[in-house]
Amino acid sequence: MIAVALHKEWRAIVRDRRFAVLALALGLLLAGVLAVTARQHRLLADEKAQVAAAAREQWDTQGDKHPHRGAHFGHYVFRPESALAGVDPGLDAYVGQALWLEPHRRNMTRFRPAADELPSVRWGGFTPAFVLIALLPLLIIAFGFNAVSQERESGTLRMLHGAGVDARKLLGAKFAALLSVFGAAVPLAMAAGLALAPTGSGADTATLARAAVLALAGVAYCACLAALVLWVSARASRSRQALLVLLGLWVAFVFVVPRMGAAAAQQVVPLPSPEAFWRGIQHDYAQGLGDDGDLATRGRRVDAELLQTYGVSRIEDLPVGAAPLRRLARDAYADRVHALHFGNLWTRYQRQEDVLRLAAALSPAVAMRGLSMKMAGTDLAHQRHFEEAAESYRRGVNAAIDQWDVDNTRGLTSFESRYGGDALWRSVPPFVYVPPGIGFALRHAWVELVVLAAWATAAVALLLGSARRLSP
Amino acid sequence: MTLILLAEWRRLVRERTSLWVLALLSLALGAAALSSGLDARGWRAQTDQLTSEWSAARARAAEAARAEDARTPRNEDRAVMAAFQFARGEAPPAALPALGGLALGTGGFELLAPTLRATVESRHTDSRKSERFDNPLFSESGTPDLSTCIALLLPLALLGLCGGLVQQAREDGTWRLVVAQCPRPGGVLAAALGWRALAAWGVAALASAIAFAFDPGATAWALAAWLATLAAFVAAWTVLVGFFCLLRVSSSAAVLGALSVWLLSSFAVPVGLAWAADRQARMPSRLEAIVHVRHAQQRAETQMDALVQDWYATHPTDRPATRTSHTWPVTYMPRYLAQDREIRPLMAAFDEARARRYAFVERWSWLSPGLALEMTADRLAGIDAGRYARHVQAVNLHEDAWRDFFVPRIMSYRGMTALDYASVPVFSARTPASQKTWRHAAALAALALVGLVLLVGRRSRRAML
Repeated sequence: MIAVALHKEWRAIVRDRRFAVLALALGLLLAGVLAVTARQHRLLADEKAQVAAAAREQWDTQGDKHPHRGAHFGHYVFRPESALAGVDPGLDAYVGQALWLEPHRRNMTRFRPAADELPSVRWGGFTPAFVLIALLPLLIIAFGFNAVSQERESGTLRMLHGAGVDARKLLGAKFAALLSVFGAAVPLAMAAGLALAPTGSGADTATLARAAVLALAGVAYCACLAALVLWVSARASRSRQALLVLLGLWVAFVFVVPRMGAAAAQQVVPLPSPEAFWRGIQHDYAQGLGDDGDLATRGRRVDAELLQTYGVSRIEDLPVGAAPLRRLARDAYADRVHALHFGNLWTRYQRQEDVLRLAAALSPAVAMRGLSMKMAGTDLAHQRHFEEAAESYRRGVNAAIDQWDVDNTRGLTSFESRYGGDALWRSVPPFVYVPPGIGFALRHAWVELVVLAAWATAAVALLLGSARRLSP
Repeated sequence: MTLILLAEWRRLVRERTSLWVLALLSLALGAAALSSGLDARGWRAQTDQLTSEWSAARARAAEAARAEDARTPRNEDRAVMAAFQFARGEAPPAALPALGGLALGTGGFELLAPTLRATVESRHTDSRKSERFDNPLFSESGTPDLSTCIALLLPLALLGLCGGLVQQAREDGTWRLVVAQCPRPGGVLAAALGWRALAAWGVAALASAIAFAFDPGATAWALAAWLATLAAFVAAWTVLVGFFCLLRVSSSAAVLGALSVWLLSSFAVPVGLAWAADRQARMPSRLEAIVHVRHAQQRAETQMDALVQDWYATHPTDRPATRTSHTWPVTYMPRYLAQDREIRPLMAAFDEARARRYAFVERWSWLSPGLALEMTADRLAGIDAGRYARHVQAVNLHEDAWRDFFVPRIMSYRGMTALDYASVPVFSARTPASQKTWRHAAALAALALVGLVLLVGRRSRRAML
């Protein structure tokens, strides 16, 4: 019997003029957004590669300089575009595109594309993910709001009731029909996104696995929405009432809850001002952490250790470079201070995200949004992974240059002398970033996965529960 | 007409769906108003705090200079280093002053860097002097600014209140009675739309008043301008939804049709406008700029010795009598000046392009009422692209004055005396508000008027039957 009902629902959808018009409109919109986003994504990937190569060439050909001055010229590193960023660019527009690595200090990423955008960027980006997470539900609503209420209004529900049709099977068929039509949109979008991804950004196994998880989550999201839509339609006495209730829910899920969650997170876990943050680092570096003593005290301690180690009485008599040895000690301390403050800042970001995750209990769109970014590798956790890899590289490069300086000079040398050359700059290995695997993404997305599954289960349970009370 | 007005008022206050819509709108906008108002208050307090912290830093530096002045002989190197450290990192905050409408949202301020600091180094190559670090997650999910919430939610509330009114009455069989009994059935629809529009405007106006009340810098003029724009915005959307009420479709189709227009105008049109703006004034590439900036840095560094000699040649009175060779930071001062001569125009191009794009989009913003409203909010808050570009120009002038003050003192090894600290250049924010704030209200009102004419034309063709 359910097969017959399913067949009837499919035929009804196909014959519905709304389906042709709206599905075509959404399909074209999704295709257009996918193509535009993929193109931007490709251009950006190319530009990043070109600029990275040009910046490296500038590093390699600095000419003769004091090694430390050469180190201060620094490196710019760029996060490679993930293959799924074409489907969900996530935070890409809101985090800096480039990270400058220099001695002594860790920087924030620079040049956020959103800063150059129109004010409408504050409404959220118009991306394939937005179409799938925000607009696809609207299409499900447009088709499903009167799926039951219209049967009631036209009297067919009474006839079906009289003919002894099982309400659970009827609702089940309507649910299966809606899900089979709209649930396919997410996997299709994933496939298109991967096909349009820039060459080399890799449709490797890990990316395919991420896309598969995202597609499955998308199907669960559609299931949740289809069940909710049918539940409201079954409960509402009139189609218009069902439509208004569903539109209200959509507005709440997509626009109100995420914004209110963001506002709550900002109030509950405030961030330090940039001035206070940098001042804190400067203070801890100059005054020292705990009982470490201030900068001058620590410097004297380092000098004393150096004199003892090399068995000389004056720093000028050291058989190795004294200034780079002092610098290595100072920078190691600065690295500790930076790690502490940046760690605190990222912890605060994480706690803010945790508060926002609570909002997912009120909106499946919030859970799906978080999951989508995490699987696409465009979320906070992946950004942190990149920045920490870059920080590790920064420390390695500066330590290597200072070590070269230690090995190639004696005592104290003038900062104005230029004894580092292109051979030294070229000896620095390039920054190679290896993005984390799917395990990393899943570890950070398990809350969203659980919440989404809970939403889907609860919505289907509600729908099945309403079948018992379905009145003609 | 009075009876019709009265009857429609009663219908509105007894209709559960409408009351639910208004209650939910009040809740959402009330929360946004509270959040935006508190953010605005916090923003102003933060700016004041930065200024007072700078005053304290200046007092500390002056005290240290007084102690140094008292020493004999005066240690030139220490004096130079103290002056350099103050000049590179302790400039007064050059903040873009927020205007009276900041309570509408601090989102624009969060995205840009409205508080800059002059320096004798190059602020363009130091990410600590310009980047903000609010959580990008919240920017992505959309800011909870009051103006943003109103731009997105108010049309939807109007849709819930007014969508498919005529069609619903027709489906219920009551519309024929209205037409039969009323000489001008359009008056019934106009009264229904009018009350609903007034109710929606009232909720938004109240929420705005709450947000403004939290902001100590709010002005009555900004509130008045905002409420007028809000009225035009509500009128435009009411007329549009009213137009859909007259179509010969089902009530649900009328709601879906109006919803499609909302989606198009809120999301598709801004994307189209951004694309068109790109054709008019393309945004230069930030990434490409990195290569140019590094080139300027490298060139200035290789010419460092010559630049120092040139500087002393053009400033003979500041050439130290006893020194023939120089080290950092003295050797770096002319280098920074040289590289900034190249980098500044490069960076200014971004602000200019942003301002040109903004101006272009403003001309066409009537195509997207929400965008027009958001741009009005930006102007009232004082963070529109044109004003920001003028602010950056003012900061550049201030930075020139800052460098003219400090560089000779560093290059001549005089350093700073305690008295000098009293006369360091201070940024005076004289960035006036952008004009044409009323342009959006006028455009939206014109849009509403055009819609009204169309609506009346349709009614005259007795389409209401």
